[in-house]
Amino acid sequence: MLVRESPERELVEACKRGERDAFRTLFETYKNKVYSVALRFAGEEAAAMDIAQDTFVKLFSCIRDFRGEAGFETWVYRMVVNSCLDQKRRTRRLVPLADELMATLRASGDVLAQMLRAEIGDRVRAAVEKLTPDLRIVIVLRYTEGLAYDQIAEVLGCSQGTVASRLNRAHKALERRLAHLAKGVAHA
Amino acid sequence: MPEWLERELAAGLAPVEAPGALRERVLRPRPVLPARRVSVFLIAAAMVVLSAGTVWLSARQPVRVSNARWNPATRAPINDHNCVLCHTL
Repeated sequence: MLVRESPERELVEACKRGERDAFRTLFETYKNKVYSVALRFAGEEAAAMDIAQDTFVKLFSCIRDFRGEAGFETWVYRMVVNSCLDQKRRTRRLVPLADELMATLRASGDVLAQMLRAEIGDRVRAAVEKLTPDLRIVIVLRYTEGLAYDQIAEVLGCSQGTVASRLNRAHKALERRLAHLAKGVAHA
Repeated sequence: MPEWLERELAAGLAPVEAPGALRERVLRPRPVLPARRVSVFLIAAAMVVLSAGTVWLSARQPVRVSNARWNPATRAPINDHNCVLCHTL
């Protein structure tokens, strides 16, 4: 169970009563989690903003339906996961490789190492974006939010075995796609 | 899974801080809508004005009906169907 019991329950009850300050507090509590999952899933800020906004609108409008059977945090994660999966397939950002390569060649020392790290991060995120949505969401919940297998299973409404299987498939796909980075990672 | 991949995934997918613009989008105050009663009143008033205008115009310009003219050139052939059309109206 991902819930922090009593203060959260009070907050939820205040939201159910329509208290404006409670909504504000709820937003401040979950904004980073919701936005992080949205950004890591969607891969671009504009889409992440849309997903996060959609999640909070649904959350505020459906909070009366929250019965407390699952933890509230789990419920919030379910909302953002559904918003992510509902999001229409967007146009992929094309990385201007030539420009980045020229910039890398012009740089030196720490700046070069920093740029290499940033480049590796971009490649990792791009590889994650290429995963199918069901594999990608498992990776995001695992590495962005640090959720355990049982927590991911609770959010997605599937078994721990399914989570383990999807993570395994995602890891293999990422390892294959990012194999060329293994040497670069060692130097960065 | 290799250790480097685990490390890079954790680094590359690290959580981020939500931009301030998200707060604006989610918590911005809704514009205050005018009360529905006012809208209904305005619509009713507009309908009354339109009705009055229509009545006034129709009273001012009586409809002129032109006299029917007989035109032998357009004489319709007499058959059962034509008779039924006129005599049932």
